[in-house]
Amino acid sequence: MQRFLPLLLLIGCGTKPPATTPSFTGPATVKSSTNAQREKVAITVYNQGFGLVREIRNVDIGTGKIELEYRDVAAHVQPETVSLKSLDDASALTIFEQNYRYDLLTPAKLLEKYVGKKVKLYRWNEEKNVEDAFEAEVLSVEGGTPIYKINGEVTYGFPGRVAFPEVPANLIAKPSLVWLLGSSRPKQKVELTYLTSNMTWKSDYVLLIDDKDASADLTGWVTLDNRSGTSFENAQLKLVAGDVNKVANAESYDGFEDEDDKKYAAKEEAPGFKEEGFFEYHLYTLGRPTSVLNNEKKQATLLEARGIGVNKKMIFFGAAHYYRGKYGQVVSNQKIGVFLDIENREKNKLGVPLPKGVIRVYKADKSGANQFIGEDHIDHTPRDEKIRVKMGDAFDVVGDRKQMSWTPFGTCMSESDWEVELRNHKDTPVQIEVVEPIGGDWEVLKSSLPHKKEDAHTFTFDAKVPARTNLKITYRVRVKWC
Amino acid sequence: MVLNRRPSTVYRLPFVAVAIFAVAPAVAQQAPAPTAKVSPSKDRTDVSITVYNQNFGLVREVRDIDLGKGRVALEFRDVAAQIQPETVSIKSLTAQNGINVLEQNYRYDLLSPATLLEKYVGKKVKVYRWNEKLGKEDGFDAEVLAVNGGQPVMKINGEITYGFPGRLAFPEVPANLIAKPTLVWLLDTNAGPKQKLEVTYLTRGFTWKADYVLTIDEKDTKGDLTGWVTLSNGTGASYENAKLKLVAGDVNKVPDYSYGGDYAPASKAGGAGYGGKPFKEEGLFEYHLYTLQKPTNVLQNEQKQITLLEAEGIALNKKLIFYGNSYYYRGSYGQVMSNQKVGVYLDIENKEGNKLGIPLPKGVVRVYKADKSGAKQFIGEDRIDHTPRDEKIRVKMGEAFDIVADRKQMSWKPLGTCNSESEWHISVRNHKDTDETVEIFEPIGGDWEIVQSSHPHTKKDAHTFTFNPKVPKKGEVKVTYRVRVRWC
Repeated sequence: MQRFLPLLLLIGCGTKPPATTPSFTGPATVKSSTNAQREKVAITVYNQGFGLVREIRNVDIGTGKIELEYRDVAAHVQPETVSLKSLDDASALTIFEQNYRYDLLTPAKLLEKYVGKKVKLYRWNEEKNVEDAFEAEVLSVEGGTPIYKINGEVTYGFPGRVAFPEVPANLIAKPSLVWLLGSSRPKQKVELTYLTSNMTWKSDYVLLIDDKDASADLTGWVTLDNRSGTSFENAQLKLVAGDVNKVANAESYDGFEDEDDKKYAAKEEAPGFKEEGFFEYHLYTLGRPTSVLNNEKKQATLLEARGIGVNKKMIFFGAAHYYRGKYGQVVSNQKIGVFLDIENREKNKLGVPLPKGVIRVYKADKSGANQFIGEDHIDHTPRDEKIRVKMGDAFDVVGDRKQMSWTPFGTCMSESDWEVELRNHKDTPVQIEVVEPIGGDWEVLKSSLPHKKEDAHTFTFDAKVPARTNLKITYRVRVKWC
Repeated sequence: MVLNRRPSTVYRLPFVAVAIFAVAPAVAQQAPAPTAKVSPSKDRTDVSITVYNQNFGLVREVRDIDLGKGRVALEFRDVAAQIQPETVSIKSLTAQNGINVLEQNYRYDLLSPATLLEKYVGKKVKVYRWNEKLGKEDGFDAEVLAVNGGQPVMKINGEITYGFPGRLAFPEVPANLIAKPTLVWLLDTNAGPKQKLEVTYLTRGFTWKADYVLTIDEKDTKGDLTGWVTLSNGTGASYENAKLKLVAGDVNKVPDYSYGGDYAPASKAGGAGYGGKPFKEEGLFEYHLYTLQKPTNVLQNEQKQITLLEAEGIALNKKLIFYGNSYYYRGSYGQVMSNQKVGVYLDIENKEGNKLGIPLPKGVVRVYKADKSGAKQFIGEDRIDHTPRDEKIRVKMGEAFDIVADRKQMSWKPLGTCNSESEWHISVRNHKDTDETVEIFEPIGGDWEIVQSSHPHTKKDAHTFTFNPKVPKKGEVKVTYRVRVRWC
């Protein structure tokens, strides 16, 4: 990886200084290179839907001035990020020009290039069972319908097909990279790097929790999706986890060189993937080559951790606007959310960087079969941070919130009485956090349970609701919101 | 069980093997190319399906597969077309640590006329044209020059042409193009050759919902409730002899970007369990799990209905409610609305004392009542949300035909910009041959006070009061009240 990073810098700066070699004048010899000459390919995939491809090919280009058509690069290559260099001897390869051609051969283009020229028209003769050929001149193709001159007459809508003597110069089958090179060595090992879009990866986690909802096993998977239009066989695969800034014109990658090889003490070394800190991101390297085919989703294990402590929370959310107006029953039968909190700490048997992705949670039912019980997105999570996974809404625990009185003082101040009723229909007690976001300047005047001020505009109640019991929390609050 | 065992030595390069078998190889010098294996649905010995309310399901399959030893590329066929590939997981039941999953691949570079042509750019194909006269096809050699924009440009007989009549023929299927999206694992196995592998995955396309039938008696005081599960399978795969489970609850599911769009509105639900019923109910995390006691066939594009619960002699409380609106008190109106409708509702206590007391998954309750000839007639339906035991369900049936009411503002006096005092007359008329109680439900904003009223009022909460007049048969009740309101 380090080796080609300076190269990327070069792209930004322009072309390499030309080496002094003779005989680079006159017409260029046309050569092409396909992936049959590929010796090695390495891809680094980012979270933002792009990848960096580095490939080494053994090309036989001869010497002198060469026009090299380089085939089998990703269909979604960003041509401005392409860079080529010789690995054998940098001075043996001089780059004069780098071209990305996308004037594609299509029926319409073909016709257009033949305006004013002679073509052949073939019409099937049923009777004689042969194709009759006509000499024709294409007069115009404006508006899509070609106008021909046949036998001295001008016509259009000719039934049959048109044939051209040759493919016009510069019309090509697929977008291609073409270099104008000066070569002083016939066989060379060249390295090409470029960025391509339509390649991405994300993490998928499987969290299996125990029957008490208290501890869990976590498996992290990497899911790589290649829609770049190209298959990479036996590729060396690396992944960068982090929010890497990407602009339409990817230039300065200077930052990438700031390589700090400090290893994170990943508790359980990823089978297959090796993790390292990399600039302000994390880099994962697959320990063996793999094939990344076009239109393929590939998964490999990223990490495994067993016996992680998880904390199930039930939360009943309010909303700040409740305090600013007159409501009766705010929303009947409001759902109580169920969440799992996980500390990403070493002493919780975790403490590893968790790249962003989806975490899916499973739990065994009474027959022992694991059932899916919810999924949520997590963002890039460094060690020692907390993850909160929204599981769903509780079926058997419901809440109600009622405004019992409302007294306005002026236009933006009020005093109101509230009753929150939590009903637990389960056979076990539950702990519910009632979270009350409240704007502005507020004061809880009285409450049946002690309230806790979480921050400037949130207070909470921690309510323990016994099995099959209803619990009422009443409180009076004064709010000034402007 | 069919195993497609072909020695990889036949192929010169490992990636050729990849192409044909859709198999991921290791590099030649590091490890030998993996042995390719194929497992179709015939290998399946056990399958269980758990369906959720949110239009997805969890499939668990056990297959007997002869894996052999060493590095294996296992192609797993006949999974649901709507599978979420990132959720697939495989393990060996025979030997816990018997297999080591190196990679899991989902391939979807599908063979189609367009991809076929694309791969043949720059290569030779044949074009056949039907010769009417000779009654045979004429063959032409052609080179595909480009296929940009869908129409191939070809070189035939030294000329460049397109729109050539006839059909194209290709010598072989290009590498890596496959017929169906396919799961391929790259495994290291050191367990015995024959293994029981368990594969689980989530798939879209499964849905279930609850449908309830409530048959009420003549007096509208008792009802019999039957709950049905309606399950439908649009996953693209059929599962025979499947163990079926249903999860009722609002399970969080993140939207999927690659597919998207097939989220059904929430009208699905599941049932509660009574002894001896097809489904057995248990708690699962904060949800409910229903297990069908007998295996069943869940075929592609099939809708299946199974009884979830039955309860007889449930007490019902029919309510007639006349609703007001808080803005009435803030302005000057005459007759607010003449002949306003009086809503009819059924309240059901989901309690054991009421012969219910079971979790009711969300769904639609349809209510029927027998007419005089004994034929059951449909009298209304409504949606219910997930309802735990000991909660109340209110089913809106419709509007009463023979009971009407109207509301008149008799006076309105503003006191400043947001204070008023007003007097109201509500007339409730019962044209039936039986007495009825009608609840008059008055939402009212802000700081309010009933100054006087002809009937006693009940304060429900900060901004609602009600009257509950009894209206005699073929009679009328007039409720008058005076209210003072401050709304800002």
